[in-house]
Amino acid sequence: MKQNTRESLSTLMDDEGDDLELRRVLKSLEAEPEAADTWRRYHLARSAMRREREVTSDIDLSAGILARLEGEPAPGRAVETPRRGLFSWAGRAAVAAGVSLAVITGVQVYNQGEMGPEMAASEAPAEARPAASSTARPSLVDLPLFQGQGGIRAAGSPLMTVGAESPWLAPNSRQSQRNDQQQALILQSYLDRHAQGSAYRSGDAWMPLLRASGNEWQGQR
Amino acid sequence: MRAWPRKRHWLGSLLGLSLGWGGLAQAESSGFDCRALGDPPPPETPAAWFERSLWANHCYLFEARAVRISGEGVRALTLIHQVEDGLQREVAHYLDGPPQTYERLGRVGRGGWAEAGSEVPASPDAIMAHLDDYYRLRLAGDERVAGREAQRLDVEPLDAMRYGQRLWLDRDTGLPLKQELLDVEGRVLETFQLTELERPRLYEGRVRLDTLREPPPETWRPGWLPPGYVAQPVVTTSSLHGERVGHRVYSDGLSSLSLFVEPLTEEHPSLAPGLHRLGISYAAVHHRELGGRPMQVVALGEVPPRVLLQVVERLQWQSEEP
Repeated sequence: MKQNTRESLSTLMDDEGDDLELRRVLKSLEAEPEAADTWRRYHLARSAMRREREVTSDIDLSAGILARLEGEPAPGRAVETPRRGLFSWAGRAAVAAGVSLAVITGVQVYNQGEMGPEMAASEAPAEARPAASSTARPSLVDLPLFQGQGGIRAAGSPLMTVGAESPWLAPNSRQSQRNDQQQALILQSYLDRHAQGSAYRSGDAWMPLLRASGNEWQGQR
Repeated sequence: MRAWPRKRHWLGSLLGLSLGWGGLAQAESSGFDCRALGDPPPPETPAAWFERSLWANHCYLFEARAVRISGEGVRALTLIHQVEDGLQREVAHYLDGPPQTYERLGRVGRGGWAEAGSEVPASPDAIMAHLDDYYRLRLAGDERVAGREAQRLDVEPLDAMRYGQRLWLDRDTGLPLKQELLDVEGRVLETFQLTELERPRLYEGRVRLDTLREPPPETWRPGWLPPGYVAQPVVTTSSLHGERVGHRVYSDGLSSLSLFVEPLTEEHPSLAPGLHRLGISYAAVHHRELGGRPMQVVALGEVPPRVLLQVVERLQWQSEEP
C-alpha cells in the first residue's frame, strides 16, 4: 500500500480528513484492494476498543469479530479487478434490465436501526412489488467512515442474516461491501446538498440540517 | 414553469389564513420586524399557530438541548440560535457519538426565484399562502414538553404525495418544542425534541430577507412535480460535485425534494440506477440519454418514493416539448 494512502486512512480515522482525503481514499479503494482491507481493519480495531469501553457486555461479541477476521481469506486472494468504463459496476444492472425504471426491484437500504430490510421490502413502491427483493445493505452508520462500532453491530444484529451478506467472508462479498460503501458515500454527498437546500425555507430548519453529514454545511448569505 | 404565483394571489390567501390571529405585520423588503411577535394576542386558529412558529424560528434567540430520534437511534444535541445585525446563525452540536457540529448562517428565505413584475414573498408568507391547499391543520390540545406548556398542532397531508407532521409549539413563544415526521401510513419516521429551552429572547429588530436571486441557467427542468411544489431559490455547493452536478430544490412549504442532473463520466462514480434509502431519505436514480449524452438523474427527498420515481422519469431536456 502506498504511503500517502496509509496517511489518508489515518487522517480519516482521526476525523481530520477533508474532501480531498476522502476522494483519494475512494480512488484507492477501487485501485488497491489492500487499502480497503486496511481501512476496514483499522475501523474494526477501533470499533472493538470503543465498544469494549462503552458496553462491557459486548466484549464477547468483539472477540467473535476478531476471531472471524483471523479466519478471513488473505487479502491477496480477494483481488477482483474492478471493471472500469462508463457503465461499469453501476451500470451493469441497468444494462441487464433494459435501462429503464423497470430495473427498480426494491430499495437499496443504507440504514438499519429500527427499520430493517423486511420493512424496506414492504415499502417498495407498488409498481416494483412483483420483483421486490430488497437487499440488506450495510447501514451508513455501519460504515467505518461514519462510526466506529458498525462492524460489530452488524455482526450482532439479526437483521444481517436476512440479507445473507456477511461482509467478512467471501471475496465477492467484500467487493460488494466496497461498492456499498462507495454508493453510500456518493448518496450522502447528494443528501448533504439536499439538506442545505431544504433548510433554506422557513420552518423545520433543524431536522434537514441534522440529516446532512456535516462535512459541507453552509448557509446562504 | 413559474416560480411562484403573483403577489396578489398569495396576499389574498394569506389574509384569509391570518384572520384568526389578528394582523401579524408581514415581511417587507427591509426584513421582518420581530417586535411584531412581542405582545400578540394568542393565536386562535391552527394556521395562525403555524405562521407564528415560522416567524418565531427566525426571531427568538435561544440556547437549547434537544434529542433527535431516528432509525439510527437517539442522539443528544445542543442548539444555538442567534441574530446579529439581522443575520441569523444556527449551530447544532452532537453531544454523543462522533462530535459533529453544524453551523448555518443566513437570512429569512424567499418563496421563489426573482421574477419580473412580481414581488417574491418571504418564505413564511409563501408557505402560508398555499399550506391549506395541501395539508389539513388541526389543533390537538395542550401538552407539556421540555418543562413548558405546548400547543399540539397536527399537519395532515391531503394526498399521498407528501409526509405529515405533528408539532408541539411553545405557548409562550411559538417555537417548535417537538416535531415528528410521519409517513403516509402515519408512522413516525423521525422525532426532534427539545429537552431544555434556555431563556428564549425576542430579537428587538428586523431579521433580513434573502436577496432576490436569478435562477442559474439550466438545460433541464422537471416535467412533473407533485402539486404545490415550487422551485426554491437556493444554490448549494459540494466539493465532491463541483460544477458538474446541477441541483434544484422544490418544496410545498413543508416537504422538500431535490433534483440532481449530471453527465455520466468515467472519472466520477455514479449511483446504481434504482431506488436507494439513506436514513429516512429516498433517492430515485435514473440513467438515460439526454441532449445526446448519457446522464444521471437523481431525485432525493423525504417524500414517498413513488413520487421520486415519477419525478426522475418525467425530467425534460430543454429541447423536449412538454
